[in-house]
Amino acid sequence: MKKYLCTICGHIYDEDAGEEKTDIPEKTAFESLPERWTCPVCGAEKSKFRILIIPKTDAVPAHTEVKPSLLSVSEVSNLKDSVICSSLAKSCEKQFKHDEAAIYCSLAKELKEKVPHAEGASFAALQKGIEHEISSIIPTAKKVAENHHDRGALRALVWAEKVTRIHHSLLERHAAEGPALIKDKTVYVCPVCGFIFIDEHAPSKCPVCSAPDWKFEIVEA
Amino acid sequence: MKKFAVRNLRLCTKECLCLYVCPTGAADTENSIIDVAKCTGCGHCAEACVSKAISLIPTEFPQQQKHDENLVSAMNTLVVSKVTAEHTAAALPDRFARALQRSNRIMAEDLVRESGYMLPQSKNARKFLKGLAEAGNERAEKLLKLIKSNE
Ligand code: SF4
Ligand code: SF4
Ligand SMILES: [Zn+2]
Repeated sequence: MKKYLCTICGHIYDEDAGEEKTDIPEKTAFESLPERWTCPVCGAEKSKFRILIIPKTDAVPAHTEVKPSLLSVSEVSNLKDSVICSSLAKSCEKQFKHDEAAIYCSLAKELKEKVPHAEGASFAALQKGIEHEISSIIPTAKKVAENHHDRGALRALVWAEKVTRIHHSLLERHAAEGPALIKDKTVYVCPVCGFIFIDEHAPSKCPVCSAPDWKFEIVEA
Repeated sequence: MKKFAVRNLRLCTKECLCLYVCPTGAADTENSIIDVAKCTGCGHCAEACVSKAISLIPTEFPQQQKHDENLVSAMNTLVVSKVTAEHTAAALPDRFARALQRSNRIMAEDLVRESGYMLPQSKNARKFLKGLAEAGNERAEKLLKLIKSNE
């Protein structure tokens, strides 16, 4: 059976798997989906999907051993502190506190650079982490946010979940296609929510957070 | 609440009404940056601007929303996973890995913001800086001096 790619957000409809979220059973051909069916991630209509042809490649070895990340407690805490700093830098920027924002940025960099480069990193390790986030970490956090009626946190979690699912399908394609995934294409990142889009032209607004396309960052080599 | 005006240079189409309505001359500067020392925060300029290029920024912010401890800890688990992913992606080649690295950082920033680090003026943010300053970090010390607490 075939796979179809949402050209708006990168979500993949897999005929074999169907789509639990929209009550589509396994082995449902894309053609026989109801006309009103829309992308479960970004809400794009059926016509926005195109068939996904995954070129065969021998660039990627079939199954290499996945090493778990071996960060120490203090390394994790430095990385987390670095994120707090770059987040507060953004908040300072919004308040037009440019000097404070600049110091927070340097502090974020300083803390991040304390942690040595990962050894034995792999795309497969990333995918493993994502699977754990999708199956356990995110649903748990969403439940807690719902119970406490914490709308801000819930909003952040809903965006993070969508973007994480997009990472998952991109990593799946990367495992199958290798470097062809980005060859001759532009790679965009939404600076508001982290949405990644790989193609010639970015959608006019972010399908996850609605930020306009002129905000998107283009990833350079 | 006390405020001051800032002009967004990206949106400003130059030389119009704001200059005429400003009672203090704060809006009329060579470099187009509104003079904070002169601005009284009256807001006439923002009302007059056809390009919506002027915002009024409060000098004091309300206390940030409190979050439940369990929520902070659940969000933290995800933040740790995201920074680990960022760190892994940083060691991988090509633009796709760079995008994953950046994207994980952006998500982590949003998650920490929504779990206690919304406002640079908050008690929480200051506590965080104090921890770093006590360990001898000079940048943290400088920030503590620059940013006033609102709690
Ligand atoms: S807020 Fe009032 S004083 Fe300040 S720049 Fe605008 S018009 Fe001038
Ligand atoms: S009125 Fe608005 S657009 Fe015109 S000069 Fe003032 S800030 Fe710029
Ligand atoms: Zn977005």
